[in-house]
Amino acid sequence: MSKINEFCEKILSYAKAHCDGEFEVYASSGESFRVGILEGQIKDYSVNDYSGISFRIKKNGKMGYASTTSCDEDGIPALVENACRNAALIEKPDEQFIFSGSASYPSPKVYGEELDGITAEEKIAFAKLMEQKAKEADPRIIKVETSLVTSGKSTVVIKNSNGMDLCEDSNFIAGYVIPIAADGEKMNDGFGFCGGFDRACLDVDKAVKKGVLEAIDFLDAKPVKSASMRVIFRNSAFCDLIETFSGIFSSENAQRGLSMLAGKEGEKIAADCVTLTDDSTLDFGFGSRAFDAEGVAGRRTVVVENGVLKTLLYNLETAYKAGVESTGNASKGGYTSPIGISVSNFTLTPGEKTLEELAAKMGDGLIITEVSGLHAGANAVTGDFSLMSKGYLVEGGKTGRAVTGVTVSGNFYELLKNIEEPGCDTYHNMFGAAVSSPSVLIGVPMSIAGE
Amino acid sequence: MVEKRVSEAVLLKAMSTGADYAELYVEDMTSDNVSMIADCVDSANTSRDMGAGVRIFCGTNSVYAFGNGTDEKSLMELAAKVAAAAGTASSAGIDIVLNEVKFDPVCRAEIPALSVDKKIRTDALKQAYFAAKEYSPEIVQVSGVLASSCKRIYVANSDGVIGTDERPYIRLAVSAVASDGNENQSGFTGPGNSAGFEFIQSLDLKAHGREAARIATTMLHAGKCPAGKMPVVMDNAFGGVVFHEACGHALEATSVGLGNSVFCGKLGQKIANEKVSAVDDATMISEWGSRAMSDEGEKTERIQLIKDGILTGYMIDKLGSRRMNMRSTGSGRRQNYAFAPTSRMSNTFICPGSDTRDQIISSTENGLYAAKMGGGSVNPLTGEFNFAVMEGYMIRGGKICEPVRGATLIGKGYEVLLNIDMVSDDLVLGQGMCGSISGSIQTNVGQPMIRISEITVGGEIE
Repeated sequence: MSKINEFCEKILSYAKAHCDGEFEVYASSGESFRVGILEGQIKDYSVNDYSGISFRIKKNGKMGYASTTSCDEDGIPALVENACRNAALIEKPDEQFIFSGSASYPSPKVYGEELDGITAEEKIAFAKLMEQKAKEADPRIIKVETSLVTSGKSTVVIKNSNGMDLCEDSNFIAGYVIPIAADGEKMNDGFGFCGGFDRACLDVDKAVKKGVLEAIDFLDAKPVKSASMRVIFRNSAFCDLIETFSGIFSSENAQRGLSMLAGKEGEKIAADCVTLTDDSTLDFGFGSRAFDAEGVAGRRTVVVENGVLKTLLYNLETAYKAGVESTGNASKGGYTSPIGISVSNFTLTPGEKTLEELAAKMGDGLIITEVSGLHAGANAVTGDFSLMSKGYLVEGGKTGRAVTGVTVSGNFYELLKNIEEPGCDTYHNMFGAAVSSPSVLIGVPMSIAGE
Repeated sequence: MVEKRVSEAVLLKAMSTGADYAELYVEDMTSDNVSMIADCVDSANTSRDMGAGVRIFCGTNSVYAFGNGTDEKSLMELAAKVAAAAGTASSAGIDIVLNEVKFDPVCRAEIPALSVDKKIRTDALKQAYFAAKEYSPEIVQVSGVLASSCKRIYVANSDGVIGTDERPYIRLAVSAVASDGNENQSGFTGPGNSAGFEFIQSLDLKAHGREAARIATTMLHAGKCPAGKMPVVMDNAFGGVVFHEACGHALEATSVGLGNSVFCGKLGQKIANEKVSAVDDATMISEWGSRAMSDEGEKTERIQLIKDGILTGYMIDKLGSRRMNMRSTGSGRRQNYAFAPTSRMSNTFICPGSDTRDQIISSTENGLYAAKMGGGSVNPLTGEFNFAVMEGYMIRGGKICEPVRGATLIGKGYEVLLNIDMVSDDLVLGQGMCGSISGSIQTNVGQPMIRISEITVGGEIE
């Protein structure tokens, strides 16, 4: 048994001997590796391991939390006592749950065995190669800000007084590169990456191509005049929007009045072409897992079907309150966080057209390839967004010059209704939430602020 | 926190394969948060986070390792890891003699927050919470958090320094949501300090709650902000986020040291309007971004970044100092042991000028008044930034008129600095969390009321 597993058992034994009530240990531990290359040399190198243990106890119907990073037995009494004290502060009237386990669990593949065999030397060599290829890709690439490989593996353990005993290992590897292009005084950077669960996904050419293209294409980018314009959100930009607003599908937000989708289950909330599913059981999905943060089995949930909201996403507490079953979307932001709700692999079902075909259909407008400042310029409670954007001008159905220094403004709830057509070019977001989306053509003009 | 003998052994081991600098960082942090939503205490959490990191330099290359263990065996393992990564060369004749350096405390907790009964802390949160909730029937939801923590850090490095620092933090945050049934709008206040519970006692808690609710209800009745280029008057306090994003990040050695900033090589040159002077000052007593010792065991200082429009300084950490061949300014910071430190801001603000608020507003014929700012982000290489206006109003004929929402300001840092054409005399700081490669840290932004003669406002096309 691993050290962390053993320590969790010790906490449970201590709690059994000293406390009434139901209780649970949630532990997350793992290793991480990172190497960054600059000018063919190792710029930074980091190799780490970590563990975090959260204990929660339900006393008199109220749940209290405490956590620690130390596997020191002397710290156990304080951990348990803090959780008990915190439980006594809670006023929330809602029924709390320490789960006894699902009848069966899916076993999505989330661990790439092949990654264990990739040595630090290979990772260093890959980062060096990525830098070299980026520099050689175009004379305008003057340097590479970062060429980096990062990998990690982690283990989640949940054990509780109701007999639950779950454990899941996962891993990943990723490389990313930030080439810098210059033309006279003008400089611009791009971001390229690759990654996944086996050797093959370390695709140096894919990462370099994307990063270099971005760095070069936007060297001469200029704003457009402020106008109301037709818009296509390219796949990765729409992933970012969906991720930012994914909280509107949380039943917790709905029950708290923080989502305008409260009470809309069964109603039309989006265009006919919109189908959104959440599926934690996909093999090698970045959001895949056998069980959620409460130990409820992972599953596939159709959230929006042909524009109709079929269900929100639930954990045990919100599901009980709504009289439905948990959808297995309980989550913890980190091991210290209380239980919340988030998407697993959240996917907008693709259509049939390529990005070029969508642009041809749009005629005149803007393809938005990147939105930034989402943590500030998008309000998940109101749905409003006003975001700095980059992209390409489309004239007569043809993609033209690069555009930067503009903002796109709108409201996500309105946007869902105004999607005219999703494309066929599904993109899987690797950073942040595991959202997948194709490019989408919006059916109404949007506000673009520029010059 | 660590025996001197152990620190010396760790540093020697870390440098055993050719490194020319080594540093040990140990941290022990306890946090205690109480949060409310839906009119009741919703969650309470206590956490203890301990860990250590060992870093070495070989010239301007760095190797870092961290873990949760802080005992001798764990620390020696970290040292062995970084040494193995550095190479196989053997370094003979290294001698490390450590001496404790005392740093005069900058942040003090008169009443350590963690020692205050949780019920008393919860009651303080409730005062602010219910003041927001009862502000108006349009307020449909309020959430609030009272976050208290105390972090003890220990640094030992091959320059011979052993330093320790204790950093108390306390922050109240209230978010209010106003709704008319069809639309939601939100407002936020979040006063914080590097101090103890006396900071909370000094606040008008109800006023802070009401302020979050006032912003939310005001914005509920606001029209959409028009888009286009226009003059923008930005109020003090969190309005300083413009300087933080537009300029501050590009003055950190993290970007300057690698040649990735628009302000590289510009020392002594005019980069801003002559009305603009700006400072990064980690030595302010008990401010949110203050600390006595950097996370690299150096004394912190007040750095004059810009004086009358001329670039006079950068924020530099140890690695940046090597890359730039300039003295470190004690700017090395990190979220915690899981991050190697790099140059970061502390309390960064535009200094008071000679204009008055009245002069600024009355001399602006038409434009946007950004009363409260949300957050933002920047690309230091291109200088492109964006930030959100939380509470805005149109200015017409030199007067503040109707409220507007949904405004975003975008531009390039080096352009906007030259376009700041009025600076008032009413400096106020505002608290924020700043994210960068060494994690999320407490920073103060700040400024007096300023005017930017022209900037792109993202909003709705009429």
